[in-house]
Amino acid sequence: MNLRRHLPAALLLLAIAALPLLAERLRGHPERCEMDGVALDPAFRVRVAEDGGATHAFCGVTCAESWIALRRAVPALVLVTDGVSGRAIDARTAWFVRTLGNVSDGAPDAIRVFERKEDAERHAHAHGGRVLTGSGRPFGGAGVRDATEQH
Amino acid sequence: MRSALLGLLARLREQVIVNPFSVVAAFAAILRLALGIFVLVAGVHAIRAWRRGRAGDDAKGEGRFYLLVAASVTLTGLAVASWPLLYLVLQSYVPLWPGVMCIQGVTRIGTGSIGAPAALPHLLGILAVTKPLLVFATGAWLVLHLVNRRGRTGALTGHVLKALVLCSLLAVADGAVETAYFFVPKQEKTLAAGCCGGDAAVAESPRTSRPLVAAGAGQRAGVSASFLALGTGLVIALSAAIRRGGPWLALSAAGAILSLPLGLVFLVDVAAPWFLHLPYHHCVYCLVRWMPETLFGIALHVLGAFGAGWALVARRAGRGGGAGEAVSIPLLRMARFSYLGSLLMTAVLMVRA
Repeated sequence: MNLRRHLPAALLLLAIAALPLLAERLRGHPERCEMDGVALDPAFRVRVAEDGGATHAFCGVTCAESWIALRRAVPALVLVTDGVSGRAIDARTAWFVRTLGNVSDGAPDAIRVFERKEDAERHAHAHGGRVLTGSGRPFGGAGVRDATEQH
Repeated sequence: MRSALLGLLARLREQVIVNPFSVVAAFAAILRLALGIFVLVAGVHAIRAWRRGRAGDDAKGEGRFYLLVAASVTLTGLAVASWPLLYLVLQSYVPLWPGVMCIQGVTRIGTGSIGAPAALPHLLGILAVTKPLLVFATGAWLVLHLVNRRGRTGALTGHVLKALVLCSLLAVADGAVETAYFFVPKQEKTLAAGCCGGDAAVAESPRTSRPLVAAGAGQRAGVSASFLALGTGLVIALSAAIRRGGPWLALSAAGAILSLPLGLVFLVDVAAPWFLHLPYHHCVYCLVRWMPETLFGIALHVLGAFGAGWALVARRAGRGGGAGEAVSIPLLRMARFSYLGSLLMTAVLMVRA
């Protein structure tokens, strides 16, 4: 008798417990930036690999730098995405431009990445901004291990 | 005259964000403000009339104030509806500013501005406090009203009317602040970036990018354990309060009060980064946006806390009599069910995450 009285409440509790599982099934799983949770745009993706083999994805250079600073990590490798070809390239060999172009191209921040120096300079010339060199380069210093100044 | 009015409307249209959500919410806020003023004035008159009636031994309970009671019930409904409605409006504002990713970014609009827009974050801060307060207060009034009606002698009429005046004051304040928020210009104001509002994510987001209390893994485990232990303890205390009442009820209410700030800390410091798999992202708005089912868990937790508080109000108002118990027992059952549901959902999410 008592069981019958509590049955509706028990069933409702069961439904509540099942809700997250159901929601997870219905939800898509877009790759998200580990820093601010934004869905990643492959054109600006940055990947940071740690010594243990764990890799972390970020929506852009700024988020990846913030994450490295927060973790006080010295990543084994940072891969950035070339703004022209869309290829993943080593951050140590990449060229970075702090652009003055507006961010309506879907970019998460004002840093653009290029594999070739000419592309970086062309972008800076066309949109304004400057090519980052020396200590102004992202992932320098506290960033990637052995991040020697190559440019 | 007509052209001046049209000009004013056009200027307003340029400065105020108009979308279906903001129109409905602004209308509801103005209605709440007007109804709050009506209930306030009518409530003060009713208290005077009730005192005169009592002096002349003519007390007939709340029956004489049926219009006031009907208006107050409407005000209660509006107060409850306005809480989620405000967040729906804020969510609808998100795409309007480049770089704003969630409600947290919208709450920062106006920071660093000059003039009226500078007040926008403060207005939202006030609303974040008045909304739950108003819902709890109007609920407590409704509970008092129900106990008074069940008592049949109208012994609580004075308390009911005083509670009504208090609720109306809160409703007027809440309605005025919300109306002001909707009509303060927001367009073309620079946004102070934050975790969900631009580049300088971590550095400029003291409230969401960073945890509230628990920074380390050990502290987070402590918060999780405290949250689960308090929730379990509350379910046990509420069960005891249903059967025995007395000190268990007071204990449940005290625990319920504690469960609100602890729940907030758990949400920001543990749940958001853990359930979203984003260890440095402490944003509750993002949690609710990407995992909407968590909103249900949050609502259950708040309902549990409010239910325990309302049950205490009913029992104290009924002074141990049958009327107080008849109203408080269903509330205690609701609170126990809500906490149990919230705990279950949290446990499932923790296991799955």
